[in-house]
Amino acid sequence: MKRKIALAAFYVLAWIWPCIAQQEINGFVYSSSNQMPLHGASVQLKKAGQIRHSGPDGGFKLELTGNDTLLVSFVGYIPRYIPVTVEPQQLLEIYLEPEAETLEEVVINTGYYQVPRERATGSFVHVDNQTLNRVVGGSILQRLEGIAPGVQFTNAGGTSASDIRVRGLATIQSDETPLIVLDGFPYEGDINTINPNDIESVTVLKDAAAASIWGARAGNGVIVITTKQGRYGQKAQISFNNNVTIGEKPDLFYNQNRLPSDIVMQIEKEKYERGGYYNEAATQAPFPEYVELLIRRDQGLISGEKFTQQETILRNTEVRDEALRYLYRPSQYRQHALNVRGGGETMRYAFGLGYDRNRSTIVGNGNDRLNINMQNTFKPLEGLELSGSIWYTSQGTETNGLTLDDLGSGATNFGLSPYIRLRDEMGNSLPVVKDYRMPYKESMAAEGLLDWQFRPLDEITMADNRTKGTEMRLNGGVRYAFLRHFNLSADYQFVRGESQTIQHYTPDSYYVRNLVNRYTQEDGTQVIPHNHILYGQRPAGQHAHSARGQLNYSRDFGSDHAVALLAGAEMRSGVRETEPGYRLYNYDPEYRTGNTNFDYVTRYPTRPRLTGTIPEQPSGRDGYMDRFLSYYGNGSYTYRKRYILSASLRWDGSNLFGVKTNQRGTPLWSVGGSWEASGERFYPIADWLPYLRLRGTYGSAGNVNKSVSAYPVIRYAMDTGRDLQYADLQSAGNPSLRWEQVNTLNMGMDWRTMGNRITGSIEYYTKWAQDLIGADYLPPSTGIITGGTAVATNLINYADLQTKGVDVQINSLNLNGGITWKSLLMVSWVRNRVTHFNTGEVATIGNYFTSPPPVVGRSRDALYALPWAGLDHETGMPLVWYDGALGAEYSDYYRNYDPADLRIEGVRVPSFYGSLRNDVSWKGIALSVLVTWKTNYVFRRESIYPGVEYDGGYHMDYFRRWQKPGDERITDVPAWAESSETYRTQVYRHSEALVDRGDHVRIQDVNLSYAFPRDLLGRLPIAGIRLYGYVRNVGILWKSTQTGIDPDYVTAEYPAPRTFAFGVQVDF
Amino acid sequence: MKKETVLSLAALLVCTACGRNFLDIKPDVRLTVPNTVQDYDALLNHIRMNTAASVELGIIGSDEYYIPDGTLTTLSGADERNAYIWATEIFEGDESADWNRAYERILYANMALEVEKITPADKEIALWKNVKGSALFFRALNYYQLAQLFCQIYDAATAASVPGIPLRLEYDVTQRVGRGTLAQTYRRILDDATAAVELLPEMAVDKKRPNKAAGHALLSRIYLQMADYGLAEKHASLSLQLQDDLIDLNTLDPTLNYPFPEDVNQNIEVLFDNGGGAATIVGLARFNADTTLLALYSDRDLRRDVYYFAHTNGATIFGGGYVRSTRTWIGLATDEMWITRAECRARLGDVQGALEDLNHLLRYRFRDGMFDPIKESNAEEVLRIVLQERRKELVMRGTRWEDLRRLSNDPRFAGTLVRMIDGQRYELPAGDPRWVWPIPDNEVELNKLEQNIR
Repeated sequence: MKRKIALAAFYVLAWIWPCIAQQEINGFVYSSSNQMPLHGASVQLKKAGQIRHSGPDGGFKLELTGNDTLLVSFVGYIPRYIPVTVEPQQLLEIYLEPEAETLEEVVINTGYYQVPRERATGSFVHVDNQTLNRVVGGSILQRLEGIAPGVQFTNAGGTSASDIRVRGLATIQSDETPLIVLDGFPYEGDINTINPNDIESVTVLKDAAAASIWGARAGNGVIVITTKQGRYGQKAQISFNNNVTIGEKPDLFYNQNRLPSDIVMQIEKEKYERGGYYNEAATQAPFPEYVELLIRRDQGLISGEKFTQQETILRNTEVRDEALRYLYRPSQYRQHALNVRGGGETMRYAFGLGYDRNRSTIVGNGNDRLNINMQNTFKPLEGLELSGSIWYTSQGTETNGLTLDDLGSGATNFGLSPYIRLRDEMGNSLPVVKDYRMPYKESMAAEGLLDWQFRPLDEITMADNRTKGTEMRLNGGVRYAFLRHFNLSADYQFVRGESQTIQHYTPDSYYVRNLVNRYTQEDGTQVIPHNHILYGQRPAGQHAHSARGQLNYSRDFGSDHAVALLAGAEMRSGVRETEPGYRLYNYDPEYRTGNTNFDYVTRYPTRPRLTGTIPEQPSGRDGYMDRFLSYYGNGSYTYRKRYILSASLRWDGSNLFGVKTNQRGTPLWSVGGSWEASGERFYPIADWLPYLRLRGTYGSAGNVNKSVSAYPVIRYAMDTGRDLQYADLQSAGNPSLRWEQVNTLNMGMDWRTMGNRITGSIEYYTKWAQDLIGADYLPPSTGIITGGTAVATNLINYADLQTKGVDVQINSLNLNGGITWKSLLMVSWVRNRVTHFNTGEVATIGNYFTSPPPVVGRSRDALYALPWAGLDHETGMPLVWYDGALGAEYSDYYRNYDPADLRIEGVRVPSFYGSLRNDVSWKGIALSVLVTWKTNYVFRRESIYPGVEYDGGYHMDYFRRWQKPGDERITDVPAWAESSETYRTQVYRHSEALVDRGDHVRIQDVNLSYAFPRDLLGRLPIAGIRLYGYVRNVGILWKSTQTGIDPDYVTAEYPAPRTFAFGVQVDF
Repeated sequence: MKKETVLSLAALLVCTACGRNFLDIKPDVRLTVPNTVQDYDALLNHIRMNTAASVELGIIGSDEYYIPDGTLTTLSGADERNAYIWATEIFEGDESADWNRAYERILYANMALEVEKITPADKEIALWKNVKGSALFFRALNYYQLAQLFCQIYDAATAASVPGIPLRLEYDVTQRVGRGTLAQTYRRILDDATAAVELLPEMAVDKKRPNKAAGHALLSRIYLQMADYGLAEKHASLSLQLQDDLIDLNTLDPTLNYPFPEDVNQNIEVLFDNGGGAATIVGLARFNADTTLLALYSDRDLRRDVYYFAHTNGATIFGGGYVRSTRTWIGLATDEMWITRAECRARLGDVQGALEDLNHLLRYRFRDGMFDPIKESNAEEVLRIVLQERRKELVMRGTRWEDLRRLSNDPRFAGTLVRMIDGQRYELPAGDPRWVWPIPDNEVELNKLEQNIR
């Protein structure tokens, strides 16, 4: 302590001392590239240790006590040493050369204000345009995968916000989706309507100081998307971008839940011979094709020779080959974009035009999108700025294709037969089993009904299902600067979108033939006309108005103090509506005539049984309204540019229903501070670490759950059969409802080494999510039952969750000469733990496998399993420890298993993950490779369970089954059994034997580009041409699991196919 | 500086002025916090009040059908598989639809009973009474059905000492309610049903909503189960006074698989429309009518042809439900009241009255001109005939389980149920604890209830 006082005294003296004999020197610092003054350049007297910063005009003033050397430095510029003497001298004019590899000043846009990264106390990830453009095609969110620390895709290849977790989990039952902000307003439309070519940058707000400005919906993080803008005094920039992405055909043989044809036929034959499985029913529930063949043989309808011939064909057919040949194709995605921007002295503008055409990997599916936008900003008077922009998107989607799953029977008793063929040797389209038994369909055709067969290949050519949607976004804003330090802004946004799906069924389509046949009466009259049917699904529309008024104040008091304050209010009203659709019978596509005038009340006998009314017009009409009202304020105080304090406060209200008025709103706040240690005179390591900053924040954000209610809530609907209104009890009410709140502590450190060779940041955070809403387990006698109408009642604020993590980002410039080599390493570590919940413990362990309840002290993502004791030497059946001995008491074992004894195998979401990107460039050639890894997590895989194949459960582990004593040493897959038993299945299915580690490393993508050298372009009116190639989903480098499973696609039919893109960008 | 402060404060004030009302709009136009008589009325119109009635375990466990060899183990529902052979363990950890759906209906009824807090305007009084009466009726009916599955057979002597079922009388889900006694359970059922009858209208909007005749029919059924034949007879009579129509089966087309009228509201026998579940085990793929039962119908009895039809697979299927589908119909109807009154009168010694009621019913059931009225003077013999006719008349109504239970207390009529399947023989003798189904595991665990011993 004494030493500190002495030190302080010394510093004070050091300040005062020079006053005795001093010489003042004045000067200015400029950039040598554009002769503009540099504001905030550091000017240091090496001997005296005195530091000053240049003012907005680049000027500085120093007191000199003796000959010294001046060190002038500025971020992104080469520092200069200038000797100075005590003699009176003239004004110094110092020009700094920019570094070859300049570190541009990153400006972070929170949606409410912009702040240079150096001045922000909170945690932000800024993704600039160049990084966004590494990825070709895809949606804007997809481009964030693997390049933003703390941003995790829980669903690989996901395209929507709900696939993203920002810094782990902050809720249990409520929406986990981060808030998307587009040009300053929350965006609730389809993110895929946005053309990525129109986006300038993306900022992810991760901690409370960053996100709390967005209030009650910021608990899951905020992703702020900023579109390209023109700048004042910018020459017109025209950029044309054109590319095509080709995707490989999907790997249909990836999914293991299938068996080859001969095995399935063997199983079906066995079931047929056993009896009891294929029971003839009045429903005419279909039998598999092979079973029908067996029946025909046994009834003597086909000869033994013919049977064998047919059987051989089936045995040698593999439906996945058939599907790959006829139903799938390489995908093709074309993207064309034109962007123009620029500005004059009093106006600036941007224009964007984009057209995307996607031919899906499924034959018959595809979509296209047209984007047009125009933005204009004017400065009619000094201090006044008016802006207006219009964005229009039109999207069309065709879904005429059929997938492998669509070849299934549509019945509950069996799914997809692996031996079905789509085309015969003659090239004829073949029928597959669908809805009813084949002999029934044939007998009906013989009776004079329409052909009732479902021929997949014909259906694809006949189908005409389209979804069309448009979205219009209008932005308007006024900014007025007055009284020198004030700035008033008002912004307004209007969004309107609508979409409708229209299905046109031709008379030959299965849909029409099936409907007509089902309603064909005993005497042959067709109740439903055999003609086109045009089915317009209920059109959905939404529109939203948002408005905001904000007052900004910023002022520097002398050179030491700077204050920035803002306060504002925001209103938002969104409406989502669904209107009645239509169903035109007897439709004539040529003249567009049709009929809706039918009797929808009379019940007609239908085939094969029961009665039914004519399918009526989709008539429901819904309306949902969301309203938000917020007041907010934000301020920061900077002292000597080194010390920053920031604080924010926000009150949010929404029209949450059934909530007591005082619970509609919630106040949220944050505080933060930062210290630029390298700015201090006593900073000891300026030589090798010229920049070091420490920062910390703490604050709260919230989360809304709209499905809960304090009061009982009912919802009206129409019982058309009774012509009566009825009400659904949606919730029996929960009087103790509160908002969810997420408090976050964030501590960070930013650094730069000499020459900016290695720059980076490390951040540690803890999120305390409180009063989380989750499903409580209520006894069914409360009336809150599984599948009941009032399920929302069991949602109560009961849990607290803590999430901790570290995000590290390191940029290094490894080579900088003819060849430039840069690396970008991102490492994230995240872990969550349930810290409180007050529901009764669930004694049945089944829940722990399907939807695990939160358990205090454990991760919310915990994956539970039963211990595995191997297979019995004699029977090959699973062994379980029960009553102190190994045995086969599956039911007693499972039902009496204490959940506390369940094994926790790990977590289902990677807790340690990251990426390494290497960018190498030489002359105009640039290569960029992104390697990502995900570790410290597990997944549960499927297998085959004894006898389950007779219930239609197939899996390739069939071939790894225990066959004979001794096999238990080489396999965990239990033996065959005549029929499945619930508990015997469970003890294996949920055992640790089927849990694998998900750890893996993959090359996510590779980008190679070539920019033509300037001189090569000569006198063409072209500023630059860039050719590029891009490969995505390159492949897995290493994985922990020994199985063929890709840990990112455990349950998927197939992993995302590899895609190859080629394109050209021309700038004028 | 002062000017600046004033300006910013003024701007903020302008913004705060617009507030409160903005957030008062409903997020979904169809949502509302129930607080009017109409709201509570609409709740009771919910189709769940009249479907998947909680009688499934009783239907599965009764002797009205059998399933062929090889079709039991292929059933996917553990409860169906186990209940068919009256196994000790039924649910294997699954939930019980009977239990769940009854309590959901009770929640709806309890919510609708909030109507009591409304003082109705004059023009609302009729609807107010209807809502309150209907809610009480639904609550009584569901507690009654639960008691037939999960409580011991009612015996006035022991009812106060054996457990009942949790009686929830309010919608507040945070209340904990235990089993209480069987006497309390029946007291509540009777109180609710009695109060309901006073409030119910003579004519309801349709037959899915109870009317006064249905209320009396329910009371008659409850008293019959409690062996209070005097009151059972009284309420059967009160019900029949309001509606006693019977369908002459000669007017139906017996060649149809499901000959009863398409629209239940047009069925003159129906007092209250209630549908059963759709248990797979009694579906077309497995159902075979009990051969003993089929043998009881005489050639002149139209019910053999009207109630049953031959399936293409050779099985005899029951198609005589008052709903035109394979689903069971388990509502309340006039035929039940006629046969109940006949039984009560026989038990009370009114042989003449019993035979009048029975012959009246059978006249509508036999072929035109082929019915010879039954003549018999021995009261016990009459009772025996009435009980046999009851079995032949009320097929797949959910009542057979209730009848088997109450008759198993009487040595004259008690018997052992037997199933033969896949070479195994299963028995359920009178007095066996397996006449009471176990309470579902999740209820026992979450509500800490006493389990039934089987």
